[in-house]
Amino acid sequence: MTFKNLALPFITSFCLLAFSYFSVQIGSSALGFIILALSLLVAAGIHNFNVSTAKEATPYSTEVKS
Amino acid sequence: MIDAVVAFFVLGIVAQLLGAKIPFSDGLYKSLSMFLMIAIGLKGGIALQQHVDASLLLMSVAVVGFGLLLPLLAYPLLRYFGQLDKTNAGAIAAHYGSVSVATYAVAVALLEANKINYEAYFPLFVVLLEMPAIVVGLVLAKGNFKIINRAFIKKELVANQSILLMVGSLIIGFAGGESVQKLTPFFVVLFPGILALFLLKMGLVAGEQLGSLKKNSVFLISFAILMPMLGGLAGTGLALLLGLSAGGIALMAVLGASASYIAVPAAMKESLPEANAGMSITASLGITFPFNVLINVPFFIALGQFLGV
Repeated sequence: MTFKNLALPFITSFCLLAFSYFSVQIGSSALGFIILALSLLVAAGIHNFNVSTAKEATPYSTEVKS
Repeated sequence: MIDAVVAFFVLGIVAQLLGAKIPFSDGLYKSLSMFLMIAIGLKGGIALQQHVDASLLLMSVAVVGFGLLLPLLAYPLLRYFGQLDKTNAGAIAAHYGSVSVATYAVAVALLEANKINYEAYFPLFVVLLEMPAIVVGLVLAKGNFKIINRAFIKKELVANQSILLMVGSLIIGFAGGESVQKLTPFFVVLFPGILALFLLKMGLVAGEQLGSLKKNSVFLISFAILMPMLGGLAGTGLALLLGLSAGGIALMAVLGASASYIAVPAAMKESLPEANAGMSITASLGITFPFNVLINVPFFIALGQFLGV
């Protein structure tokens, strides 16, 4: 997974956490922002892992078939 | 605690995810969205009777400028991070530059439930923000201005269903005088109840869209959450520049944060048929709308109260 693919989930998670901080400061609920930020980071991590393992597996399977 | 009207949206999502079959015809859905547009326009028209002055014209120009700016903010994110082609980036940017009447209606219902005052002429801004993003999105997608011809303007501006209904109701509310009061029991008093019914349907649709999210959509989810936060902050900045009240700041932020899923998809289907409509509607309706209704709108209302007078 390239930097470009990973950058936006990280930027969004950072913004969600920043909004959660401001929510606390202005007396609003921060829970939704925090849950979303963590979910997005986990989803990006899992997606990154799946993509990288799929890439590693491809040459092997090609070699076996040939 | 979650607002009762918004709770119906959650009920819709839960019902859809559990596979419950709630019969909701397309005709009823269209009628409810028509009711919301007429009610918002009418309420704005009645309020405009007391608020027409030169400063409103200046604010309207600023709001149109805001509508032109929002897709320009979304487009580079879609092109650079999403690596989307010009057509799809332009189409999605148009969705995020335009507004969602339902998100606006939710914000108004929450403001009224919490007795927070807002500028009564806001329906005018909702109408003004419908169109500019469509034009900018199409120009970005096509790379030229040729598409903005007389036929396009006639179809998308003069004969656009949402613009026509809201402008028409706004004029009726403004010029109708005392006779408009006869309509208020239906369009004003019943507004929260009908909005709840509409949100139940929207919850069902959003639940369906969430189910169709593919594994490779981390970018789309990220964009559909980031863009309403950025748009909301830009709206807050504009509202502060215009010197709006606490409710006005919240509503301008909500207009900046919301993404269209009625007017723009119809326009894109007509003018940009090669764009992936499913991607735009999943982002705006499946991700941004629930995020706005459940998390972002309450935040911007609290921010408006914090910053406003």
